[in-house]
Amino acid sequence: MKMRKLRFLRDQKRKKILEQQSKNKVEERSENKGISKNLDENLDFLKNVFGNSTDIITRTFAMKTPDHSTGAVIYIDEMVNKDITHNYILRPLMQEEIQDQTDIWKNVVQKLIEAGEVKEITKMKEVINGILSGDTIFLLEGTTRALVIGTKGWTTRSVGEPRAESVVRGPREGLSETSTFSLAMIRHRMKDPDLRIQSFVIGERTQTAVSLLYVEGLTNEQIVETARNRLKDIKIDGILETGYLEEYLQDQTWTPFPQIQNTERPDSVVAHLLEGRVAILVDGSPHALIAPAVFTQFYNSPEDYYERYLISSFLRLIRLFSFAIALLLPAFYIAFVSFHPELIPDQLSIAMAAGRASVPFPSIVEALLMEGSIEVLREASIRLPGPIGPTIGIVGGLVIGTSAVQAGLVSPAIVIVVGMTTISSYANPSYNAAISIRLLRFPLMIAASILGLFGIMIALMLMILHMVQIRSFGVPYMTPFAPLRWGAVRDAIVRVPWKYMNARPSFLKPQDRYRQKNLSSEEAVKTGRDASNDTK
Amino acid sequence: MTPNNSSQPSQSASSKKVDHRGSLSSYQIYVLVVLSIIGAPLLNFPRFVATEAGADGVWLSVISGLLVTGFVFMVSKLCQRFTGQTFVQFIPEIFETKRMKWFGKGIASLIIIGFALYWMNQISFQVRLFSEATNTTLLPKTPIEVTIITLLLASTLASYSRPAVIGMLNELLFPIILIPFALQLYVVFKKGDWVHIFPLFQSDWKGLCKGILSNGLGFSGFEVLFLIMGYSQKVDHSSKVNTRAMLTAAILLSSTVIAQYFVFGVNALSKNLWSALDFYKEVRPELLVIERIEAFVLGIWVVIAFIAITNLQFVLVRTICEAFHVKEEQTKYVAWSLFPFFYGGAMVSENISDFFAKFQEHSYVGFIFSIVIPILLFLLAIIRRKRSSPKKKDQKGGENHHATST
Repeated sequence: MKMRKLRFLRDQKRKKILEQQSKNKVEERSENKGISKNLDENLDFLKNVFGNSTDIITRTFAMKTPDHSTGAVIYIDEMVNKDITHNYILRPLMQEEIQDQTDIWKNVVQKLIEAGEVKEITKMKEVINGILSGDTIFLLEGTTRALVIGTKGWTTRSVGEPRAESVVRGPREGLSETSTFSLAMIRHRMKDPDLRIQSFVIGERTQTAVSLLYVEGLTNEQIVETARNRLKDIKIDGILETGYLEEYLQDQTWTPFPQIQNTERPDSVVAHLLEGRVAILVDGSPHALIAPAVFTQFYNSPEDYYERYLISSFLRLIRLFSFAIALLLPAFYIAFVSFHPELIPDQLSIAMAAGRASVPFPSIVEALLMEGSIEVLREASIRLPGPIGPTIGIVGGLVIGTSAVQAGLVSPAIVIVVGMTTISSYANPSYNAAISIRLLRFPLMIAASILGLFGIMIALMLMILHMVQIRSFGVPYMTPFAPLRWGAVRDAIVRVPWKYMNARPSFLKPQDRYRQKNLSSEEAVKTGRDASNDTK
Repeated sequence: MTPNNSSQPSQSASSKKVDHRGSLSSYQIYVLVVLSIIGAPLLNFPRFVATEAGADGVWLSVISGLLVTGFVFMVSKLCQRFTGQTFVQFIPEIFETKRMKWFGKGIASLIIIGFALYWMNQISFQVRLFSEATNTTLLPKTPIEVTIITLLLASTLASYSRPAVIGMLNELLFPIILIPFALQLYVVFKKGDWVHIFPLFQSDWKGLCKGILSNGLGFSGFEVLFLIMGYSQKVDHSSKVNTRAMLTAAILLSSTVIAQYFVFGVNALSKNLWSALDFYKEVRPELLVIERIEAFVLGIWVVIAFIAITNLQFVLVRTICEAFHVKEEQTKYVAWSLFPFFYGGAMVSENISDFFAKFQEHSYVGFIFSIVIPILLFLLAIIRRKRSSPKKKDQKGGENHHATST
């Protein structure tokens, strides 16, 4: 009886929240709203709907009619073919004369608009959809109708494949250096009028355009406000890349761990916006910053959501294993060789000792020598021109490694260890997270050389302590494991099927908590826990 | 040229008096209690039980676990009466009278000093014990001082973190510490013999009482509740959560005792100084890369030692800070100033047998103190109808559960 009462109360609460969210949705507000005769009223409504987004262009003009009727053309910059909009819509509307005052509308439709695809509409929702789809809208004072003119044509010439985040299955488009193109790519994927783009100009001398993207009614207001405030607080002479902003926006400066994710992929930006995060684009950079970011996020690839869940989960486990190898293998090698040879099987221990017999250095020097060489090779192969880079890697890895073993500088085992470590560090989908692991490997190696396995464990404890102290826009870095959020765990180490990921990550406290609204309360509980009950 | 620090919560928090009420979730408290209890006992508890309680230690450990669970329930009920208050704040309230407020403060000071000394003893004991075990198994050539100082440096560094951070640290490490208990089952199935636990019921009443008390000693560490309950988010269900935590710790420790009885038998167990390490030596997993499983287990025990010592140090540091109204940014000075005492305490004994004898005497006194005082406090609080005012009951939201804290 008590359970039933509790369930009833929970259903009522959920219903109330969903109703409130529906009210807030702009789409629902504009569902039955017709076009007003008053042009200013229509324009104000659209301005309100799009929240002063800077990429929405509204051109108001006086037509050459006997009473100089006012018209307006609305479109999204870079989503329309500007040639059509300017030469075949705006120019005739502004320059051609209409003698017949009685039916201006008919004249416009039949004579002035020189585009192929023209449709008459009467609802504001159709106007919004038209704008978001890349069409141009014509509104006329004193008329309750509008024209949707087919002008779709965003620029795709400069779009290239994202180099640092390539996927086997998934879109091939990467963000562009021109932020308006990037914004168009995001808009193209997310035809939601609630998508807000707030512009900032940062950099006293560079005057760089920075855009803050979020979804109104979905993203937690506090996160948006934090991002907004931190952007406003930046006082610098120039911003040339997102990296400049990243260091200003992050919560903690003295840490090797990235607290803000960056991506080159517009699909990844949209995915994060839909989870309740904010994105920041900088004009001149093909990267977007995503905040808040938690630790597990850096080991997830966009492809995880495109492949089937079993494959994705397996790949995630492989990545975590690679993370452990990249971080710990050299340290364990030093600990086993210097302190605990009895821990590894006898035959392996003897083989390793035999390999090290001619090496004049202690294991830490041997490991630092090899790890240092690999870091130099890696840096060299990145800086060198395309075709030479991989050659340097192969020459360095094979030739120098083999020669070093033959010369008795290092043992064969350390070559294997360093090789495995390097390969494992490449398995990380996030470049900046991989670098932090490369950095942390060295203190762990030193700890292992001083106190063996005990030293490694103590160093790991301190690392974990540091990680739980980090926050990203107020969100604890080790969420969903600390603090524990069961609902979000299902998309952390492994990924459950999409239908069981109905709830957005509860630790982001999204205003709109569910992806599917039409589920019954029982289904909603099955497919994603209520965020309020998410703390165990 | 830098953004305003007001937008950075971690930096702004330390500039004023920080209220930590509501910092810890129920799960974090559960984990904190479990990890504070199962620290050092893992290494020496079964041997200690075998020595003190003989063959009946097997079932007496279960009885003691249940008794201490009941006791934890009482402590929870006591703390529930003073929502949002730590024992530093509520003990004076229990004793004070309208005319003699100083009396409450005086008695409270004595009790708090008693607890502080007890915890200091516990910390020194645990540090020395784990360092000895580490040196025996992993670092035979390293001086014990180095191991002690390293362990203490790491735990001191962690001990002055905010309660929310300590809660998250415990939460994150909890699954790792369960691994040795899973391996324990493997060892029991491979090498255990049920004949080893017989004959039972050999002790007289005096022996049983001694056995229950010695078993109860293994469950010390629950006293952290006196402080951390003041940081709890949900106080209403805390008695249930704390009881579950104590039951979990009791199950884990009793299972360790029973498992070692199964493998060694009471006689071999009572004579084995490092029974916990030898227990895992009994099996050599042929298919694993690691040849000696006990070293791998000790690696995990370093985690358990670190977190258990950190928890006790955290509680001690916060107790001192609250008693002397130390500002948040000065907490670290308190933590570091205690470092020499812990080190001195750990190094006070010349050898391991002397060390065991000394610390167990102190632990008995401390444990009895930590049992008697709460009973007294609980009864006085009921008789004098003392509880926190409704205003104090309003819990501040937990900082680790906010999406943002600007």
